[in-house]
Amino acid sequence: MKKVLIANRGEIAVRIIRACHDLGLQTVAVYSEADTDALHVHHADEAVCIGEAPSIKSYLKISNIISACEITGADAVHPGYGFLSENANFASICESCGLSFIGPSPQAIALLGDKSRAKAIARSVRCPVIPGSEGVVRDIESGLKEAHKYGFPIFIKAVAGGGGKGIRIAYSEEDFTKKFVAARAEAEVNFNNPDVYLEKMIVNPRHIEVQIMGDKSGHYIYLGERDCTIQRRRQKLIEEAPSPCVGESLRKKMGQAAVEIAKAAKYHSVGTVEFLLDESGHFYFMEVNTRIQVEHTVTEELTGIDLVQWQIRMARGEKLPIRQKDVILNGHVIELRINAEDPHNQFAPSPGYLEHYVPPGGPHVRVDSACYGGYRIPPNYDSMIAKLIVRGRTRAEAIAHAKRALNDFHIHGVHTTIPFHQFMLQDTRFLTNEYSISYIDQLITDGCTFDQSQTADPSKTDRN
Amino acid sequence: MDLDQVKEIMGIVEASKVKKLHLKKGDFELQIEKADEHLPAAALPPIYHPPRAAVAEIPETMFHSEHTSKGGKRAVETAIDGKFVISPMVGTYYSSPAPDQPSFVKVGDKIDENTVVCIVEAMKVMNEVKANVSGTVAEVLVESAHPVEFGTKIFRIV
Repeated sequence: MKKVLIANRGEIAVRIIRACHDLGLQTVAVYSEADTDALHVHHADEAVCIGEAPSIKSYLKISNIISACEITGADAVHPGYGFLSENANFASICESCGLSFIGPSPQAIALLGDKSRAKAIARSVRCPVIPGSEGVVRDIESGLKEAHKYGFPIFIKAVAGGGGKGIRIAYSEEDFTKKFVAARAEAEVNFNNPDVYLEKMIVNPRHIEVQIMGDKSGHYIYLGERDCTIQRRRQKLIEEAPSPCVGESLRKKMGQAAVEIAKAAKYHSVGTVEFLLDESGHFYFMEVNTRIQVEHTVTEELTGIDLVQWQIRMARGEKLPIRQKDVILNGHVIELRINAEDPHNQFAPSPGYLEHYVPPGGPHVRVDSACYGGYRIPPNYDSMIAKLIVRGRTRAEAIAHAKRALNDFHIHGVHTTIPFHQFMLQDTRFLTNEYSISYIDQLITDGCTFDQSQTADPSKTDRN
Repeated sequence: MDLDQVKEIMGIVEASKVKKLHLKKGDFELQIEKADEHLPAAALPPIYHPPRAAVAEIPETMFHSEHTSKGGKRAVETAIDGKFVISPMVGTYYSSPAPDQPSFVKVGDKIDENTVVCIVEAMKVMNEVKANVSGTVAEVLVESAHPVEFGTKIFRIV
């Protein structure tokens, strides 16, 4: 492997370019017309414009990306996250063009990317799964039969969905009848596949995901879990590791379950197995993310293992240099996603010109970002400005470091979610770990606009 | 010094940025000079972006880099006038349908939106490119068999 083309943009493209350069590999950036001044374009050794601003004309345009490999002589492609990273067809095309796809095989992507097939794999290795339909539910009648088996509320989920999209909740039979049809229509439009499956809605769960790595020689390790329970409309805002709700024995059980699932799917590369943890400490398989994730940084800081670098190394056939017993989880790490959104105004997107951008630094602080002072955040893509990752010996210490880092993060020109994080870091429920996956949505429903003067009163907000 | 050692030195010079090496040891003398590397980008309007200034130091320069670079580039940009046929895809530009055939168009030719002006080859598929503008070909900006990216200006049309 000599030259890697990064089929992505933004902070993850910057991250991947850094890992490639750490390994002495050449890099090629691709960019749309909206990204001519993007940081990843400046960091890469070469850059190729691949299309107009809309993703479908650029970052999703497989032919232009493959051609860019051709004209630059790139011999490997890293797909990042989102875009084409979980597109088995793209992975397959790369292979047939003699390009090394830095990720799992097209077959593993297709298998685990199909939510109901992934669930079947989990069942086959005796991993607990969320009660739900064993496959696609084709009509309202069979759907209602299923629903009665495990009771409402019920999720109606698109088989080809992802990133928290394509999900509806039905609270009753009548509700189900309406939402079933709507869910199928939405799935068809968004994912080209109307198929849906049903899943019991676990009440007040925590979102716990396990990072795994597997090399091409069949060695696997898990790198502990990440707790991503603080979400707004299924978009993660805060991630931390270790999870305050997971003890040693549960960590081992979940880690082993995750590895067994990866093995059964013949999955190599890095990946994440997502679980829900209910109030009584039972875990249930949810889905597998067959790519590097946004919050991989949390595990990197906790374990000291460079996941992106190792993802590249394993793609070129290197074996994992460590075994499970060598994995050490050191201290506590918290990641805060700083997005160009206004938390005081329903998180309305706020693209625009960064008049002022000064990230924090010093010990215990890491910032992964593609922004800089003078950069204009384009409106065509996600709203991420930066990932702020802090560490400490304990959760309390990490929180103290996070408060300092947030205060030092000076961004002017756009609205940011910094005030949201400052609010959360002194929110009683967050500090005492008494929240579940619907906490933020519930706060918003109750009228919270995340002003620090307006601290949430635990007695007013129901646990769910 | 034996042949293996000489080969080793040649390998090291090859892989490094060293252009010339003169080694003398006793009555053994070795001179190595690298031929200038022909980089396609040097012969073309820039497709591959040259390394930019470090971001953190001069953010303003980066934001306005296109407008503050001195000399040739800026002068060329203000001098260039007219419409352009731009590449609709990434690939390799060919000026004629086949190596032994004449170019699709040459300077002075009158074209309209539907005139096929060149081929851009991508993944072994020869894609005919229509002008999408009309006028007279004033300048050919890319050499045949050279790579183009999306948006690369291929012809200047007046």
